[in-house]
Amino acid sequence: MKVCQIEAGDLRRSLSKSGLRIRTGPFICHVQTPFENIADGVQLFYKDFTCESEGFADFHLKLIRPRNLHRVWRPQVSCYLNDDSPFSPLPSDQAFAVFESLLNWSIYTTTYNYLIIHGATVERNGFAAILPAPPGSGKSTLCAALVSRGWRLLTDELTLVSPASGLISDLARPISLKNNSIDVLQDYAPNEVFGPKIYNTIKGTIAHMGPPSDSVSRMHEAAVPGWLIFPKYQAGASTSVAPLPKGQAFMRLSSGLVNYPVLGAQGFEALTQLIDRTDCYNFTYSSLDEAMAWFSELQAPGRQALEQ
Amino acid sequence: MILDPTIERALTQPQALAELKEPQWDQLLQSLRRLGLLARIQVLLAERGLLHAVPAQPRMHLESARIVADNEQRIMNWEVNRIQRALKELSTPVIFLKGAAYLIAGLSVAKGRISTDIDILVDKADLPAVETALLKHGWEHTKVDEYDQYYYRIWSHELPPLRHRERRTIIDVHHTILPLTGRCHPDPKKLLAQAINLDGSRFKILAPADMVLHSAAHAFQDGDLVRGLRDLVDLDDLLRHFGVEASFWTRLLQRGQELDLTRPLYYALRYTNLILHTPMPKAVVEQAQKHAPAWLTGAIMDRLVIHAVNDRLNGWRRFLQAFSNWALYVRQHWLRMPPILLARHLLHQMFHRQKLRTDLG
Amino acid sequence: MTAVWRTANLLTKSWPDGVVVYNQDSGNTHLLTPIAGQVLKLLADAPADAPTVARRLAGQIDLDSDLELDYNVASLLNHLDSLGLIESVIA
Repeated sequence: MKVCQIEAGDLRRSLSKSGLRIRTGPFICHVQTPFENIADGVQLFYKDFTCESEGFADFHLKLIRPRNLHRVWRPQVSCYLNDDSPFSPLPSDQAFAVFESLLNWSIYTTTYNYLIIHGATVERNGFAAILPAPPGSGKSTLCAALVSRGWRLLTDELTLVSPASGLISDLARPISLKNNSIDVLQDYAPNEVFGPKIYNTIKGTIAHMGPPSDSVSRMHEAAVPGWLIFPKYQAGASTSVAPLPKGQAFMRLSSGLVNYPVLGAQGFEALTQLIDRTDCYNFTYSSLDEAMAWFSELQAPGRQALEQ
Repeated sequence: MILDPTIERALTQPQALAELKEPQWDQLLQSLRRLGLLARIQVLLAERGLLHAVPAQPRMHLESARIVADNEQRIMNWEVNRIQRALKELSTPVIFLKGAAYLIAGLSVAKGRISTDIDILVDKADLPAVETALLKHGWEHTKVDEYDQYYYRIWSHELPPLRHRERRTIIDVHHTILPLTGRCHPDPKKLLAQAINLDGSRFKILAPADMVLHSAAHAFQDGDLVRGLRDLVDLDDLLRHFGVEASFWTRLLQRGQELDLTRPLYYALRYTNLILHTPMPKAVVEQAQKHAPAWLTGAIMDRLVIHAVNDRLNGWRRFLQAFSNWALYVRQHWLRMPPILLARHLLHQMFHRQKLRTDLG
Repeated sequence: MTAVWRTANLLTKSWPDGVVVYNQDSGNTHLLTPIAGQVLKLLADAPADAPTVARRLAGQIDLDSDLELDYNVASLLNHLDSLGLIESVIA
């Protein structure tokens, strides 16, 4: 069954009572919450996702009103992953953002059978472009722009690489935009689906952009890595690209990997294979149009090796 | 019923898990995760060639847990290597304890264990030399608070924990296995005398009976009973492994007397047998029974242990669990220190924890 | 009975700009220069002492074997030892 097949009132009631189990990539996420803004977010951004009312779930997420004064005064949302509370309560108007963060947290902290790169991945013509991302790199803005120009969204935040197959999972979850990039994207891609702005979060103002329907419908189609592009947004800079030698690309990527140390030899093999098969670049930009043009001209990987 | 039946089956008859359906796995995985036993179950299933019988979705979690545990083992192996390297210039004997010892000895109890700190036992006279060598090779003190340093050196049985500057791993250097203020006083010289050498080097591990007694003392008199079921799982594995030799049991009772650890041994045998059905000769049980506590203490211990080994449950049971854990914690310290010191210590710890919570926001 | 250097449990991957090495014992990952990578490979093929490594290396990269090379190789080996990538054993 798909989320959009559930009537709005029933959806809220389901979420409130026994919860809903939503599939995202290889995971099934069970979420229980009475908050309407979360139900609205689920209805808007997860409408094409398959869901069940019972069955196995990988994560059990609860987002509820705390049992204290903050139930009524300056209402808050408390969140739980499998009965443990990883974050302090936050204002309840941020509930949907908290849900997204909690799901990211769930995946980060329990998943070791995939290599997890903190960054976005998009795919076109059979190859995926991975954009590993420290804060301030502008990866979500770039990712959202690419998605609006027809690239398949695999993920905005957690790039999962399978050590066995070398392929990247499609999670298809909404893209989280911050502060200025919200207005930038709303101008750049007015036809995309945007959620309401959420103010005063730890990261500033957040808004989400919905995944395109083909990201969701092709969720079971993992992607072949093609390019590894380290983005850097620099106001006023002209677009500049520098091929990155593979040894350096490896060290740079591995130092930013969440679970690389834990995966050990398997992680090393998976990462060397990934670097081997992709063309690696440093990419500095300020103009989205120029960035889109460059990405649209990307050649199938392997050409870089010939050029070096 | 003491343990949840599925958890009991998982630990004592893992082959029965092949029949579980996905919804049952959902519950079981949550419990095992809370109990810190996910990796252990993966090991038990893998050894029996039963992983294929676990549905794909739950199997992912077992695999992830195993990857984490294997990494912990790698970290520990490397730590042992680095510690041996740091201490090789000294001529003093060094005994590796607990997790590190299980790993070095290749015992089945080591598999699936998520153990981070390394514990070593040295003669009290050798402490300064060992401390100096470790500090020279990159370890540094963690408890810089004067009170904590004082507590460890005067009342405890170990140096304040040392952490390696780069690797961030912790080593605890003991000179006895139980605190000086405790009720039991196992003579460390006796432990050293029976310790087994590794590859003809100065590095050793405890003899089997001593290893079990140390684990029992750790589970029931010192350390954190909040680990509850995991400690019992360790004891169960050790007893099953060594217990195939009849002479082990005689030795166990004998050493229990020699090392003044008859009470913890009684508890260990009682609770592993009761909760995990660990096989043991009847005669041994009868002998150990002679060191059982007074009826009231025994009854309280029963209730506390049963609560400690169970998964945290909802509502009032959770409250009871929290209270039991707190009662156990206080009992630990009561066994360890005179009351007036206990009050001061708990107050200090509470204050510290508050501060930490504030710092973390 | 002499002391020779031998490699730890290593996995390596060579690229034009360097060799990435994963030490399965320590869990550490390193990026070494191509030359250092070559030295590691020599030791992986056959444990040897510093002078032997210098000689074999000179042969491979077509350099003259001399005191300076010996010194550089010895320094490199000490550095690799401090990283835990190699260790000295009695042959």
